[in-house]
Amino acid sequence: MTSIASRRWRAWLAAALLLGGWGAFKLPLERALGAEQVRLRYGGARVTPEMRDLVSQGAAMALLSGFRGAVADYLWVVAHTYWEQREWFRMHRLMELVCLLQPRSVLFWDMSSWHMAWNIAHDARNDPDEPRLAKRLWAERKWIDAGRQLLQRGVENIPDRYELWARLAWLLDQRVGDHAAAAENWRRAASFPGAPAYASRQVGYQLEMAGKLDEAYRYWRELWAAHPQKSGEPFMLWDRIADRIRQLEDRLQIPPGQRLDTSGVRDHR
Amino acid sequence: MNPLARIAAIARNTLLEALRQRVLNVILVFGLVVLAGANLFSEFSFDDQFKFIKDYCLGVMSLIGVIMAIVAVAQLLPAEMEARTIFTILSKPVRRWEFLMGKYLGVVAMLLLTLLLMTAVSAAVLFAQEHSLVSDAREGLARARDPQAIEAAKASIAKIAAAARDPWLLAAVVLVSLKVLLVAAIALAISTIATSMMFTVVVTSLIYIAGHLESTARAVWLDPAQPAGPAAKVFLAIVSILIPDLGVFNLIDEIVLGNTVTIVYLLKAMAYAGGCLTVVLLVACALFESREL
Amino acid sequence: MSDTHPIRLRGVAKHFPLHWRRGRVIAVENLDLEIRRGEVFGLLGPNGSGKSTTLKMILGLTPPTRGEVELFGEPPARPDSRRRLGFLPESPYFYRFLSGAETLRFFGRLCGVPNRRLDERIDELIALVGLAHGRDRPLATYSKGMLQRIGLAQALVHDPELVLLDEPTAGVDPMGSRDIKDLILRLKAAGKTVVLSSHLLEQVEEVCDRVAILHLGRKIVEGPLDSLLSSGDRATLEVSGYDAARTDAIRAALASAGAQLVAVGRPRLTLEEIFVREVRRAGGDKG
Repeated sequence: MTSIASRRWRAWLAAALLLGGWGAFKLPLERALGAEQVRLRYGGARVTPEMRDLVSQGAAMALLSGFRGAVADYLWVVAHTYWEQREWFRMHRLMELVCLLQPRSVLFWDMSSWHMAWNIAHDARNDPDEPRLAKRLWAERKWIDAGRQLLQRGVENIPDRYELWARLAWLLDQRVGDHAAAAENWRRAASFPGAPAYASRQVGYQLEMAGKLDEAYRYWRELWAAHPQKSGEPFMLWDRIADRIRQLEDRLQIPPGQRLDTSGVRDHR
Repeated sequence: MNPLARIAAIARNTLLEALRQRVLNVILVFGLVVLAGANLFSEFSFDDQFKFIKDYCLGVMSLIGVIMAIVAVAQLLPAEMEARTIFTILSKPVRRWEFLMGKYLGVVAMLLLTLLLMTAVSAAVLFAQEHSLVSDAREGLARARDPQAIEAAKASIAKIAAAARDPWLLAAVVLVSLKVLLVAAIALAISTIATSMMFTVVVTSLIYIAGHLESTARAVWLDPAQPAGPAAKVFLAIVSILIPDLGVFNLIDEIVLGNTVTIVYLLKAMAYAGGCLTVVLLVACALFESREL
Repeated sequence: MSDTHPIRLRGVAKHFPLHWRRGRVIAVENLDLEIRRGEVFGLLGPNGSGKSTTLKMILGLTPPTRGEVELFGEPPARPDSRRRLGFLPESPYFYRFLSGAETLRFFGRLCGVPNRRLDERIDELIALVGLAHGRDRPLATYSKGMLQRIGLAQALVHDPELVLLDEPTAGVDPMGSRDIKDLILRLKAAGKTVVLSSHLLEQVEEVCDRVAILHLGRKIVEGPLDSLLSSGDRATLEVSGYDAARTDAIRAALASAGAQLVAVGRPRLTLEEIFVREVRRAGGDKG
């Protein structure tokens, strides 16, 4: 007899079995996908306590629901209005939030750190409201450091592309003056496919500027040896590299027999 | 005789009906207008512009798609019950699951049509942007004299084209569509036990949000180191088992950002979404079988 | 068995539980019904008497709480048993954007009417229910009577042997009501079994062979219309040359034959009278 009660029970049972069975089946699937996500470094919608402090509840809902990109873009635009109003601290907060919302976006880390270490730092140094030079210099250093710290978090999130390594290297070179660290980061940047040719040259330049002439010379020679064809890569500027090698050979007083033969190199642009 | 013919007949009618619904049309037109406004970010450099346009378009597509899916599905059964058309149809030699799948597929056709339109508008916006940026770059190329500048201008034109015509964007559109269809299926399953349209809308929205938190719930549940009481663990277990992990669709973000996405991972994510979709539809059919009409 | 009785209900009950365990509503209680092949059967009773619920159970739209329903000898939830049945719901609404012909095409497809037969069948049905002027108009523009006609047409699209009509004449003007009754008689003549429900008892008097009257979910009367409507040993004499002034003479003549003149006028009871009488009796039984 098919009374209603038994029919309903059967349907609910079927539904529960289906969902339960699928649930048991999908859990390992999800864990595998999740593990792969971590391996591939896909930044999922993981709500960190840090993020919770920064976003209001409503925004959290929206960003969790797959619109993080759009929310981040909107806040990015807002951050730029703060830039125009010279509201640096607000801008700093908001840019940190944008970076947290989309930690896999090169653009946000890159631009945010650039604003801090260059634009805001420069403004702080020339602040017309602050007569004391020492205070202005201190503020400049503080902003440069904020930019550096942001970029260091950026490379933790996107270590698989050259851009942020290059940015960090550039910042260390131009704003901090730590050429040895800059060389190290240029080396990381140059190791990724798609990295511009100057990244490879910057390693050598920075080593020279750091005073590590031996290391720089070894590096140039290795770079030279690694590209026997000296072609294929535009902007590699082998003539300049040959120049550097010759100068270093003079300064390091390399015996003539051990010097590099660069006579055959044409200008490769 | 032929269930497919019956399902097709019901789906066709549902599509025609949906296309006539003012609410859905208003939402769609709103979506298209909003998409056409994606160029508002023209003050940024071209890298940013493409990222913003892609984020914005895919975000709008997924938001509008999800809203339309929930609204359209939530009123399917109540409308049929109120107009009593459901009695006429089910008094024919039509099985209940055939009716339900016909209704679902009709809405799916409407949603895919909507997504197609929105994709077309997004593509138009993207190509318009590409066109204006490329013509700017061409001017630069014409003015360039030394070989290095010419090379740089050429490279930047290639970069613009690559950013605008990233074939992975199609994968992102497919993922958005899968997500919308999954949400529609969840709404359908809820509506088979719902007594009002509002119930379906609210519960589906909650599941949608919970779906994005499922990975967190699962992690806390399965990690013995996590401090959680037994009641909390049971709750997390239920959430983890019953609710699909909508976090798989975060892949869309990676595609927009131009990060490397492996084909294998994409296929796995799609297979997972497809599995969820199938199970949710089966559940909907099982529940509808016992529904009092 | 199923050949002689397309529909059979045995001890059928339908209760709707109220929420929060506030008890239940009894829609139908302990109902036995057997519909014979080829008859026009009227399921009568006021609104809320359980007619529609009974039809829904026959259609398999809602399962009975107790008892058994057989449609052509099978449980009605199976789609095969519904293939031989056509149904007109109460005040039917169809998809308003479809035209009359499109509506019939849609339902024809659902019933598995082959495409090559469909065009022909649509023409036949449009003619049968007299909807030539509404053929290509959307149903949104239809009047109540036209909707009822298209409803009838869709119920017949696959030429079923059993037709269930829920309130077929409700809200229809007298002319339309006449047409519908004619159609029912034509269906009967074609050998179809027709079950119709109505709360307007006198409207179905002339078409039904047998009726059952429901009240508060219980069957209070069932039987052939003729025997129900005639009252005991009474008879109607049709007299020509009747003169009201001489009624006394007629009475005397009847008295000599052992009979008695009760009334002059229409002697037939109406279904309303029967209904009221039976409701009183049922109430008296309980009290």
